Amino acid sequence: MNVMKKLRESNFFKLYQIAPKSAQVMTLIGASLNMLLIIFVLFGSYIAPFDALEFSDDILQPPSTKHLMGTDLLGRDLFSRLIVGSKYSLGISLIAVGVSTTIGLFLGSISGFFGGPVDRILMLIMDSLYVFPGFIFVLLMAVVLGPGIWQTALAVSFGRIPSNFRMIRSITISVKERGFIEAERILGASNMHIIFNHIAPFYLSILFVTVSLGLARGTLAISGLGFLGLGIPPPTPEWGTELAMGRQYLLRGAWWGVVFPGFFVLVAMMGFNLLSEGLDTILNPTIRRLK
Amino acid sequence: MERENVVKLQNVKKWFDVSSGIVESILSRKQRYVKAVDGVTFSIKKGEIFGLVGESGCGKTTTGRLIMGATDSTEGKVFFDGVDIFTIKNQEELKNLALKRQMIFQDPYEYLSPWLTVKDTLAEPLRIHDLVSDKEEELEKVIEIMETVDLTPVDMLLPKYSYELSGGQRQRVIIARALLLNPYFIVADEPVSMLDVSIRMGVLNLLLDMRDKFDLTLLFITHDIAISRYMCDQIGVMYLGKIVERGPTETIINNPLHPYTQALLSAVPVPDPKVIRTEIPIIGRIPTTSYDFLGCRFAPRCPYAEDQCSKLESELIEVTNGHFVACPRAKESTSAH
Amino acid sequence: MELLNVKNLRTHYLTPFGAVKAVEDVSFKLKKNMALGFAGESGCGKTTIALSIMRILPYPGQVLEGEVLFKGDDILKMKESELRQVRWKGISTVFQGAMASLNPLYKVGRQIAEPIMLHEDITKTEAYSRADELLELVGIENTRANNYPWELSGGMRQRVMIAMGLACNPDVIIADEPTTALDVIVAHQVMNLIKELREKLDLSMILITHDISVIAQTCDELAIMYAGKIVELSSVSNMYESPIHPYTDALINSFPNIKEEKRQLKSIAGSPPDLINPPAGCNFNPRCNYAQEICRTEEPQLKQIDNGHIVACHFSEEMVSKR
Repeated sequence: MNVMKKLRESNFFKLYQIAPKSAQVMTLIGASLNMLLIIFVLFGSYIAPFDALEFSDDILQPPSTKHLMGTDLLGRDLFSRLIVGSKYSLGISLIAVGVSTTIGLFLGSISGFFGGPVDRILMLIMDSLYVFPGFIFVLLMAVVLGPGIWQTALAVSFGRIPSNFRMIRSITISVKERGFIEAERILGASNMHIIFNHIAPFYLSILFVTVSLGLARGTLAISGLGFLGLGIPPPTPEWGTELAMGRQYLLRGAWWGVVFPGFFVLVAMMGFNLLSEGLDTILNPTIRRLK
Repeated sequence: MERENVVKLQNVKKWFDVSSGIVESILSRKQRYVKAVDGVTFSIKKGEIFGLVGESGCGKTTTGRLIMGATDSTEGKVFFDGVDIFTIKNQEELKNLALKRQMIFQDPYEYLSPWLTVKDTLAEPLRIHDLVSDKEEELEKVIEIMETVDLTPVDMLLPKYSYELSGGQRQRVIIARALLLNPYFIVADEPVSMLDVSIRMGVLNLLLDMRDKFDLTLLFITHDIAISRYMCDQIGVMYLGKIVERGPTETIINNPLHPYTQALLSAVPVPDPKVIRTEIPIIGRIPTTSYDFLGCRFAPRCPYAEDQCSKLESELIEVTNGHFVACPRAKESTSAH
Repeated sequence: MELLNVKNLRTHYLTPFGAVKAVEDVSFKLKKNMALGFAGESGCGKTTIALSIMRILPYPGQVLEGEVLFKGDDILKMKESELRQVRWKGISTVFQGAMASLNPLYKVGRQIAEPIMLHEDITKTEAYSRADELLELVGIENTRANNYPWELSGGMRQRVMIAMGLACNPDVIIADEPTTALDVIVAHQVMNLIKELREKLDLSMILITHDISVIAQTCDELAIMYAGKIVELSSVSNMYESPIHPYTDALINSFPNIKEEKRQLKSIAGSPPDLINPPAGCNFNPRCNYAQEICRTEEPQLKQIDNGHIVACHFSEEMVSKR
């Protein structure tokens, strides 16, 4: 339990303790939900009660003790499918967040630090992209790139790049004027050295929030694409695709096909948003003081 | 024997363009500048502490930054060791300049990274210039410099972050960091103004010790003339971007000739209730640094201003040995007021 | 006649990390026409005294003990309505950083007239004309009443603050670092102005500053503060002639004097104390060159040495003979 001890002694824990109760609760709930989802992503296939792809004769059964969330038209257990689907809805979101964060960091830091014509051009591009409502943009990219796992990941990542870029760029601009940066320059440090060693730590403060927000939006986007028939194609049990399928049987009274996929999306969203809100309050000194 | 000049400024100007945007430049066709430094000439000899004294807005900090190459000049030349620093384009050479000239700053909090411990802060210059071959040597050098500037107890302070240190300790870290590269010239920009009164002397005495120990040449920038008297061998009094009086410290303190210097000295509060100060009257307000009229820039506030003062700006003239004044009155009277 | 009599004032800031003992058992008297200066390092409690007297302590500050008798009445026990009679009219304040204290949206004339209108029963025209008079009094042309704060220089803004402080003819003015943010020459003019006004208007003053030289030139009496306590109090001339407390001596000697011969000055070792856990015994002992065993265990009480000169030091007699 060395980890627990280290955690308790860390700076983070001290901040946690003086944070308002609401933030503590949010962080705990959010973290637990996320832990659950991570378990699903990593071990989904093993812990699912049934094989997600296995057909059976229990067609369109309502939720029971055997099939906790009912079955679909082909007799496949919905609960298992949704657990396995986490790999896609969340896992791909993770990839997308990785891509968009990396691109945002790279372009934002260069743009903010060097300024000049490069900055102006990038700002122009990013501002024009920013105009598109996030999902519409993702939709366009999905249509252009076509269905598939990597294509979806890429499409979803594009949705977050402009805002990541802006955030990193503004942090870079505000930090680069500070005294200790000038001191480093006078000491003879190169620009790269300054960016990587002295400006980069400032990105950490928003990285938590960026990532969890990105995961939330990403998951929602992927499910949205799946629902519209773009993105991940069936028979892959992605949540959105499941939701689309379930919708077809709604008129037959099979409410579980719609409710449970939606429920999974809801839980994932709540997990990310609560965690990011809670962390933001704990880590952000100004908000702490106000609340 | 004449000591060589480490730093020499020749008619250096730094004007900041503050003309506001397209509309005004079309309509008025007049460009407005903040003339932060407006024709400054002086040199600093090896081993000397040269004080640049003046109130806020007089251009002393900008002058310091010009010498450090932190900003470029609008006009004029800055020579460091005989070389015009603004002609050096080679990256390698520019980087090597850091080994010769360093800076100490006014705000001991802002000029330290919040993410680095004392150890890492001091290791930075060594790492940037590849001056050590392994971690042990690095630690050795860091401990050595900490002991030199009296940053003790060393093991207790090494892992601390800047916000865990007192103002005086932070300033010592800044001084230590500057000294690590073994420069022979240091610009000290108001190094004690933000420190508590009781700690100032400690830091000032440290700087004097370091000057002796490392054979340093210093440019000491301050608004506090009493401190500049304590620290400096030579003083240059600045007003609105120009040096109005320059010379050996004791000469200037005991025999100020420029009316501005006289006013400055008479305004300094003296920690002795028995001293009644002679009042040098100053009239009017401080004109802005967008000075663009002819004549002496101090004339609007000068109690002795005459007609000629608003037409012609006086240059620095040597009145007695090494004592320069930019005021026509100075030639006539050399008696203290 | 005593205008202000502060007795055993104790103010703490109750933070989650512990109680910051900002002011501990402070007592002093301010007579009519007197100027009392409070000097000490930042964090020694001098501003907190002013805030406690005016009852404008920010959260989480609290006055835990003591009496602040203004003309015989305890300010700390007053109701809001009674306080309004004291603030601005009895005691007024001038704080440092006039930029932050003036409202950028209103002309200065109006800002000076406002307290007059709030505290006195006169018409708007009369208040505005009084504001004009006040501006003249502080050396600003009254046409400037129509300017906004950002149209004035730092020195002028500070003068406006002084004018506001004088608006309701107070008996006492508390000036907290009135010249710290100002340039030397302007600061000098402002202090001269304050001196002039004191004479003209029969004003008493409490001057709070870390710059002991300013007090030397403007005040009658001086109180040296350390770690929330007064460690020495006497007339200014007495204090400079024979400073008794080691801290006072060290403080006076950390200011280079332009009028005397240049000499080596020494700093005070160590750093200002942690007010949540101040050192046991005499708070100054870790930094004192003369500290003995008793200094580490027993807190020295303020003792009268002679003629209004009081010191809190176990070895005050020895110190007297040293100097």
